[in-house]
Amino acid sequence: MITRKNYETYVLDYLEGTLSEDLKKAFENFLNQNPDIREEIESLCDMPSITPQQESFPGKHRLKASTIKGLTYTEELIIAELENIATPEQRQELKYIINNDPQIKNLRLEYQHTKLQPPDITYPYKNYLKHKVISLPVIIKNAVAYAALVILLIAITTFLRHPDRQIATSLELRPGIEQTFLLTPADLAPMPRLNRPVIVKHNKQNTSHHSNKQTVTTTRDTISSPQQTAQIVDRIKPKSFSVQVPITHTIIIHNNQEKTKFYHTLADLGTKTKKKFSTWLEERGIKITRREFMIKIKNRSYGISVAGK
Amino acid sequence: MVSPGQYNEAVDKYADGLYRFALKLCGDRDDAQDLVQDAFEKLWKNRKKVDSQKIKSYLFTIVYHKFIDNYRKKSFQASLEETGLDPSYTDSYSDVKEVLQKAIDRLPPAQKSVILLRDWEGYSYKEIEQITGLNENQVKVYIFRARKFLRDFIKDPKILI
Repeated sequence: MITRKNYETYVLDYLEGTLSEDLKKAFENFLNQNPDIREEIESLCDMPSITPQQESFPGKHRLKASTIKGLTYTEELIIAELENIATPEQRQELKYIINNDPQIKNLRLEYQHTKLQPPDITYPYKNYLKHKVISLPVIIKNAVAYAALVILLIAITTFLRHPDRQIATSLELRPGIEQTFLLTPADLAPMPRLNRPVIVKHNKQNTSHHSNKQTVTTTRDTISSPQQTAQIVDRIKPKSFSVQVPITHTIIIHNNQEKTKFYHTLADLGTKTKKKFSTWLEERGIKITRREFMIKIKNRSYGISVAGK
Repeated sequence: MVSPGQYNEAVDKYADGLYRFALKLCGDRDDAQDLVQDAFEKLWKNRKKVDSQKIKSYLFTIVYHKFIDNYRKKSFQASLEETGLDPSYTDSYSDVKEVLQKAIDRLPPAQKSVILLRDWEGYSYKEIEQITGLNENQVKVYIFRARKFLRDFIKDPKILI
């Protein structure tokens, strides 16, 4: 029997629909007889239901660990985005973090500054690196001209290689014969504003005593006025040194700026020859810097090339 | 196989970038020029073996390894001598670019190389992996750490002195 005294025990089950059919009918009859209680129960039905709030922990990203030692999780996300390797989920997460944490926005901005821009630097010796390209049709077309040129070159080479002949542009060494050369300061002077390498020539002498040597210096450009030479010599003041070269290569001394012109010539030498030449320089107290073909005298660099057998 | 024409084209196309890279790595113009010359010399000598599609990475690979070799030799020599801090690092900095340049110079060689290849040459992680011989994860870690270092340096150059 449902009465005004005990009806409350049935209210909740009635509202949730868990009453048995008999009790449900009995409870509805009771409500019909007591309209004030019906009104009270109906007002309960209009109450909003209580659902769990959608709360999230604001600093989750600070708790997460980075896969890279020394970086925070957020930094890893920012760099991944900058590097264009972030997954869609990572981008979404970063967006969320930035929206909720203004400091991260600044951090992201700082990282964007680490993107490097290449400076405007050009390599100055491109032309020296290039090799001649001759196409086959051109060769065929000019076959006669080339043949004539080859004959001419052979003739010139034969003429220049004659033992009694001095090659005007280089210091030449005879195979198997120990020869002595005296290099004077003037020989080593850097040549200003020349558009091709200046190569010095020396007369060969078989005596080892310096004072008896005759040194003849010629250059292919005119810097040889006594005043100009004196100025240059005075500026660099390198020690004269004599060289005794029992190897069979031509030695060319040129200033630092010209070294690339000889580069391929040197590169063609075998390792043994290079080593032999390096040893030869070291034995004479000549400091070899950077590459085998550089020597340093009084803190100025000069190039040395070894060419041709 | 690289033809002489392709070789010369490579000189025009890549010598500048290669020189920039070498110069930033070693910080010396003569050394950088030598590195570039070495790379092209090697390319010329091996032109019959080199894939013409991979000339650029071939050149950067040579420069990178040559630099690392030289660096190791120099480090060994330097470790035998006492070295002091460069006083220029205590100077005040006027703009971000300037600070960034200083910061790059202070990166360890491997990190410096990978970040230059990435930002200056636009290489992918995979390509950097091939050039440097590092694995892809190492490349990623080096780039991320380099960025962290640069960012910290930009923020406060003096904290790293």
